[in-house]
Amino acid sequence: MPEPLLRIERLTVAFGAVTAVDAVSLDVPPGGAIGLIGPNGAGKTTLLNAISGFVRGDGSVRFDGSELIGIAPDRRAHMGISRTFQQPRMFGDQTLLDHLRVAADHAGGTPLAPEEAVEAVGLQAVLGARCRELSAHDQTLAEIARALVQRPRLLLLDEPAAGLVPSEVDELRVTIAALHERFELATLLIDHNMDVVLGETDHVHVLDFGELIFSGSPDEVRTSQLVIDAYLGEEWEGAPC
Amino acid sequence: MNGRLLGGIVLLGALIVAPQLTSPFWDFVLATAVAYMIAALSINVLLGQAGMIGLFPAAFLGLGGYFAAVIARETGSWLLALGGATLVCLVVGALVGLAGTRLRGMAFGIVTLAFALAMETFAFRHGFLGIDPAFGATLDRPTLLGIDFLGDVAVYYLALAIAVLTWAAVALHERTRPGRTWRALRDDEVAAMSLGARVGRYRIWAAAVSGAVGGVAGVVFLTVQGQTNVESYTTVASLLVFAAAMTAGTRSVAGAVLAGLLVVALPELLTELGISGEIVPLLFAFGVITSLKGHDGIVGGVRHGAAVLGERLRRAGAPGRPPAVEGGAADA
Amino acid sequence: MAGLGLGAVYGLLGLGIMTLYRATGVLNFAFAAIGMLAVYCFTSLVDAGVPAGLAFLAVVVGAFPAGALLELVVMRRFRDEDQTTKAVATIALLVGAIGLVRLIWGSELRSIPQWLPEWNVEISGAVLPSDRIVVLAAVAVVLVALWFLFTRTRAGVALRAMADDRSTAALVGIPIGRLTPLVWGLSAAMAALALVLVAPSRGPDAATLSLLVIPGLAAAVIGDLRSPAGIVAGGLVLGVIEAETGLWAKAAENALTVPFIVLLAVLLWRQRRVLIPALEENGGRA
Repeated sequence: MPEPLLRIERLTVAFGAVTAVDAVSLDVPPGGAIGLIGPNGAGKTTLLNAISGFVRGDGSVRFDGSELIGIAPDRRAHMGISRTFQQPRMFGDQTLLDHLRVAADHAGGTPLAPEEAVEAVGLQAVLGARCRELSAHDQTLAEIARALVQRPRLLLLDEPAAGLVPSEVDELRVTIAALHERFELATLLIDHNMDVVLGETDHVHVLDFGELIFSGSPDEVRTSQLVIDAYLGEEWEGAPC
Repeated sequence: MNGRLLGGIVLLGALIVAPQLTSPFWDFVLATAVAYMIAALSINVLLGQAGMIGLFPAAFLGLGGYFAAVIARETGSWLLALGGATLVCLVVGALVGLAGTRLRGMAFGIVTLAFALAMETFAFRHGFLGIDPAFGATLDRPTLLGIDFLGDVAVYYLALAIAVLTWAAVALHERTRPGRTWRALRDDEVAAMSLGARVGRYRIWAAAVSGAVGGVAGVVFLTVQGQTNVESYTTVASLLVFAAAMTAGTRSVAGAVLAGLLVVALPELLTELGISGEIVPLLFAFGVITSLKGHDGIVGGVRHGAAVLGERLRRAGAPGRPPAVEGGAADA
Repeated sequence: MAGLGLGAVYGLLGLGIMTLYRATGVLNFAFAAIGMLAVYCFTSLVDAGVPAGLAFLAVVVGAFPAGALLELVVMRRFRDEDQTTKAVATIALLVGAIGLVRLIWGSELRSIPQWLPEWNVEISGAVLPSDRIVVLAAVAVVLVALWFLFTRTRAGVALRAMADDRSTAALVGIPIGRLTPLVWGLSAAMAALALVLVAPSRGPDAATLSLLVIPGLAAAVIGDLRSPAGIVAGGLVLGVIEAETGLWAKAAENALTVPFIVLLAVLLWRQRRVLIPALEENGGRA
């Protein structure tokens, strides 16, 4: 079996006494669409931060055969890992075009034209607008466009549907679904919206208290008692984050 | 865009005619102010563009002047002195910037303030490069291309020409890849890093460019003054220039021009009006506090006001038109 | 051991900087400048015929309401800003304080009364001048007082909670709004104490006195803005190094390059642990 694009083995991230990610192992195949769900505080974003290099972890994270642990975030981006953020992180004062130019400036290889990137997410109309004037929905899409400019092979999506109204969520799903074919990239998608994750991925991992408690197809996740229990716990005792 | 261009032309025009409108005493004051406009530009580069807090402008004013004095003494060439001193300050700025690869926000601010104090005591108060602190550094006004810049008006135009060239270089740099990356770091360093920007290199480069611009200011300052003493290069002087730049606005050339006038011309103006010039630091303190809570200094505030006013006029003139989305962006 | 007195003052400055930083998140560049204002008031009082001891007590006690007022009038509006904005605001205070002194007292140097009793104590051959003993004693008293405040009083425990996490502290009902000016008052009194003690040996220049904040910051950073013992030890080490290099370079003021080197080294050493502070602030959980 060929090595997957991303292979995480026994990755652990601890903040002082708190173990946010506990010996997690998972694979992302080339072009795959992998989902990651779990209640608040389960360590989903920490896992993403560890893959993109913003927090340190122990264990092994291999991308395309090379070990990432100990490598800085900027170099991981050059290798082909792009990400979005839960709270979109934009360069507020700059236009979307300038923003995408920065992404192109630092791409590891030949960048995608900004025009093509905004076209892929449907933001052509606001290319000249300043980022802080974009709606939350547009900022989410702009972050995806920014990632696309760098022609990533792995795109990490951190709760892209958070704060969107249902019609926007539907548009977002169409956009994300189209990315795989058009750009030949793999995605690792985190979201609280189960419909989005279960509908747009081939394989889903469930994280609870930093540990992987279940992995399977979206259909298996829907019927798993373990997952239902974890989410029932969240519903009744869910602490604010 | 056109508004900015027009504003720039008006500003430049005003700076060109200024010595024709004032008394000889003011020629000297204005020439000195131009040096501080360049010094304020070094804050614009570091804080306004790259978002880094550098509390050391007067240290580079001194380093630039001292190295220019030594190079001119050894070679006799003013142009070599200008180029050499700028280069030295570029390197020193990069060395201080090395600390900025690891240190963020105020941690870098503390180091730059300590650097200013170290330079003040080590270099400027105790003899440095063979320059006696009691007499300070000296630099003769030059003759270039057959034109002598010995008079105050002539040296004003020399200073202004160098200032305009520096502004042009900084403005061109703003549109390049490092310029874009600086603004990205300023607005969101984590996002910039996630895009593969080698943050450390760009922070070093920002400190280096800021140091070089500060060095140019130092050469111009010494050329105008002829001889300077340590009081211009103290840590407190650094803090004053920093506060003046923030008061005026750190994201535009107009802000740098205003900052230079605030540092040099405002105290003289107040003295002529019979008010103690000692009140100026208090005004700067007030200016910094206001800038932190509002728009980008006086220039940012004026621009915002103008944008809001323009928006109202436009709405009044064309009822029923949807409001444009430009309003809040004018303080950029 | 010429640097011990000076080092103790650095430690005192570092403790004051730490106290304010822990409780309010403000890294106060104007800390020594506040004490410098107290020195000028002290000198004016003594010039007006007030006994030095009484004047000392008056400015230290008087600094408390002045510091609280400063918070209420200026710093209050920065309570919810990030730490960098807060710190830049204190740079404005530093510039303003120096301006205020020059406006009120003029820029000519004033002599500061040598008010501490002068006698020498001999401890196993080493001669210790009395002013140094007074400073060291003051540091000890402040340390004990801080320890008592932070561990034995309700207000102190609330302050510690505030320092750990302001929003959680607010959630559990700690009156942050009322405590913040009090901490400013406390730190201003500490600044007044430290600066009036050190002023006679440092000269009466507003800038020189205000910039004592730099060695103070260096001491605070050595103690990681957290450990009182580390800060006092850091201050003492700084003071001794400064005194020793001053002798060696035959120019005491050259020694002010020492805080720069120490700050640089310690900050870089500490910073190496944190990759992206912004992302680790919330423990990385979300």
